[in-house]
Amino acid sequence: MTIDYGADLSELAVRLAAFAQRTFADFGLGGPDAALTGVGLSPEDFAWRVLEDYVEGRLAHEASRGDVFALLATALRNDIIDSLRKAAHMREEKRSSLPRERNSSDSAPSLDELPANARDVSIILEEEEYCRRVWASLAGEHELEEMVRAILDLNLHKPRDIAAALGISPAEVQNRKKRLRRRFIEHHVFNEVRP
Amino acid sequence: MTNKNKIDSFDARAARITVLSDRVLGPPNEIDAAEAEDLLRAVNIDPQELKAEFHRRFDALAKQHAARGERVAPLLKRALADFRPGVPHSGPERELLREAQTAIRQVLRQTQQLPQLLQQLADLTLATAYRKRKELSEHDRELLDEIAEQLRNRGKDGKPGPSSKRKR
Repeated sequence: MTIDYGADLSELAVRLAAFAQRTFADFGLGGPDAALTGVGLSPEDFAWRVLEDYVEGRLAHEASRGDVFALLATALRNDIIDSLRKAAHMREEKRSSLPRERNSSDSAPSLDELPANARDVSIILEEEEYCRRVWASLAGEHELEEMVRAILDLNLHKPRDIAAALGISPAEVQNRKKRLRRRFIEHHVFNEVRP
Repeated sequence: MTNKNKIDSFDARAARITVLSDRVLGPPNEIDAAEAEDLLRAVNIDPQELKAEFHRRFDALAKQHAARGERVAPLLKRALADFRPGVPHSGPERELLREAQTAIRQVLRQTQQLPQLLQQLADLTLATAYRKRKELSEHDRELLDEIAEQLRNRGKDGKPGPSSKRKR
């Protein structure tokens, strides 16, 4: 195990907390004050857990496998996905144990079985649903819409290819991605989650 | 659908969302510290408050280790230093602070060792008597004449003085 003494841990924590917000938005989970249903953890809690594992030596970092932030961000995202799986499993067990009304269908859950701000896991894992939320966050932002279209419709990956297709510089592509991340997270927290 | 198929399906679908997210929003490491602070503020989270909260949690963790008689790991010590409220925010400033703390600790350690070091020196005398004299003694004059003579002889031998180059 290699300890990266050069990394400022408080800076890592802030970046991880921001990435946890983005991952919650990716999966349509909760808001800033919300916790993941079933496991009761907020985005900041997930950032803390991964940082604690790193500091306590439970998460090994090999310098040859990229910087420490990349390692911790991947671990954080996997932790959120694992918790989402557990939450879905717990909800399914709870659902199957509840008595059904005589006229209710066998498979459809009744509304009171679902926590107030939770989404059905099968829906939030749909790519179409993800794209819907991305587009909804961009309403009125022509430059950002143009870039997302180049990524999704033209299937472009590299910043220089996207830049060439749009007639802008790769630095401008990075700048727009930065704006896009902010719009997506803000929209998720203030429009998708809150009434 | 079997449980295994359900898990595979869940993992495969979650993996597709992460790939899509990285394509549209960029890979995680594109979020630098300045952008991360901006993103947190945008959703009403104060980055300084977050750091203070993490410092409290690391502090509690260190105390748990100490209570069990365990050594506090170097990375945990580092975390306590990095998260301590009131320390400079920029990396270079924090590095300078760490260097200064190390230098001060070293000077204090050497100061504590000074009495023992002095005891090791045999026949240490301090020439303070000379400072109190108002006039030169016979011995002082002899010494000064000797030095003046040496300088005169050096000039006669044709050795260049320190300012000879400038005179050319």
